[in-house]
Amino acid sequence: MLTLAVPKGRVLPEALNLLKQIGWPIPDDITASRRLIFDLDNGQRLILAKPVDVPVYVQYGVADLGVVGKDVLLEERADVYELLDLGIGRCRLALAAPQAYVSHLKPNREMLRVATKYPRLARQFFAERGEQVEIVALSGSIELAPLLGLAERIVDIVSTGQTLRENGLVELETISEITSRLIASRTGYRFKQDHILRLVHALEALQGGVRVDL
Amino acid sequence: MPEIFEKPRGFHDALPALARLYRTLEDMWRSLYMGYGYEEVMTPTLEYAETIGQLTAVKNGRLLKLFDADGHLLVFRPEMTTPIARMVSAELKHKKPPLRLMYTASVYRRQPEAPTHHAAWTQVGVERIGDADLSSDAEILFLSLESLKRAGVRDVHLVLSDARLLPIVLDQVFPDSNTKTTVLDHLRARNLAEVRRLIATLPMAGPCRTALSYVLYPLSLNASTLGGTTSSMALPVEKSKDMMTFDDVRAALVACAGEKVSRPLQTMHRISTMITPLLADSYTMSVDLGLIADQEYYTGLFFEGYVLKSGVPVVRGGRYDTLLAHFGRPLPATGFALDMERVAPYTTVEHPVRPPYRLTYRPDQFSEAIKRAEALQEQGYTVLLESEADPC
Repeated sequence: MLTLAVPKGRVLPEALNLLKQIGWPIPDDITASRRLIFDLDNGQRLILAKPVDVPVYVQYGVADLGVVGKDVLLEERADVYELLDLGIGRCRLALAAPQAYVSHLKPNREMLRVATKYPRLARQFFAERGEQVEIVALSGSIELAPLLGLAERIVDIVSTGQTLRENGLVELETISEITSRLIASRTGYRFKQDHILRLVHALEALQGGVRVDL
Repeated sequence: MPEIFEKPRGFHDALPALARLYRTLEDMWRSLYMGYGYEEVMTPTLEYAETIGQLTAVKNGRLLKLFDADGHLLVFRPEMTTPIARMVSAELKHKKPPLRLMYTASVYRRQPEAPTHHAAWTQVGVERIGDADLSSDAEILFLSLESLKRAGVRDVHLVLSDARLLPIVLDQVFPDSNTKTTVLDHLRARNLAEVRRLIATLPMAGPCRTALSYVLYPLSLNASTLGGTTSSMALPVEKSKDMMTFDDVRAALVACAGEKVSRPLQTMHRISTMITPLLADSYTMSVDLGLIADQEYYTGLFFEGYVLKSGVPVVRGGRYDTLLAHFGRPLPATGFALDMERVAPYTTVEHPVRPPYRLTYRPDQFSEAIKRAEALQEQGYTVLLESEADPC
């Protein structure tokens, strides 16, 4: 009935837990299995996708719904409905620097170099501060860039800060708080409106807080 | 330097089977619109950036531009409504309204976000200019749905809204224009999570909180939510006590914003009751007061039509009563445009297959061969002319 794309990795157990709590029959082997599509006993379908790909499946309408971090939504600017803050996958997008370069640049360099998986957000952050920087787009293990001298700053998501500490990096500033969101495709939202709103209600009821009723 | 077979980004070829489908669709739609009195017009591919480029609802950053030999900045037409508005105010100035015009034309837009997206595609549409009445809105809605139906498209959903309603309600609830802008920005970004949070937490009168919550709950339109139209129950739905109806929405909005919202809602209700009995199987409609059009130039009733899994709308339309005044001929108008390449994958139209006939002839008998070919074509053959002298 509904096709829901969930992100593989860190947030997956939390997302599945939410679904379990609203009574979706989630198979136990789902995180261990290598399958990517799960047809549940309640007629719904789960798709396991790389987090950054979740909004793509949803935007093209092949998944009706998705669970995805606000960081990905902001970076990818997908044309989708953002229905609910799920309050899971809590972390922050932060600016960090190696201990040695917290207060100054490398000599003879006119611009900071910033390594990040989020080139758009990083560019926007520095543009709003009126600072010119050089953005180096990487796709993972951003902490490596300052260790090797590729960049003096990184913009990345941080949850406990342990990875930063272990790599000798200092968190300078929070750029934005991140949680996972429930998103819907523009077509899914129209064709499966009742099912989607029912799901939104159920998930909202779990949170107990903010609630808009008729 | 591009490879020899490369095309500019966003531009595509159509091979014979697809080109035939496109022409079949265009012909079918053209004859549908002509049957209702719409006349086809054509406008230039290029327009001045200072005229059409300024007045179009397509954002400046999406326009494809170039300079002409005199140094004027030109734009490739990004849509057809604005050029037609110009035509109506210039060459057709003396033609008495109403004007019923249709077009099928390539439109061009920059697609900076997605390299694989189309920079050029075909819009097929109609404009009905000079009529402000209910019947013209209803006709536009009907023709857009009928276009999809005749093309054999299944699983269509049409969302209706009225550009006047949301601003009236928001003005009432948030006299402070900053909050109003914030809400509109979130709706535009389709961030309903944030709108929900604002509605739940901002201070406002109870009736207005209820009214605004309808923004988050689109209403399905059918005989039971519209009420009173039991003569042709297109969608027999059992009415449950907690099911909201059009009357509930109207009552909630009037309780918040007063009688100002009554008339637009009444018009919408009447048009909905006119259209829903004509809906094909697998076609559905809803009202979404929180809908913001991709191009915000509508002044009244407007709509978007989707096909299941199309991701984005395939047809858009509505009333735009202020555009023509910019060209000095203030006239009310309404219309719609279909994105043909987006609709095409969902169509099931038949094109007759004409069997091929290989006709060989001696070069000195070419005239006779042509006569024979014409006779065969009349019998329904496709004739492949081949000279006997050809070495192969």
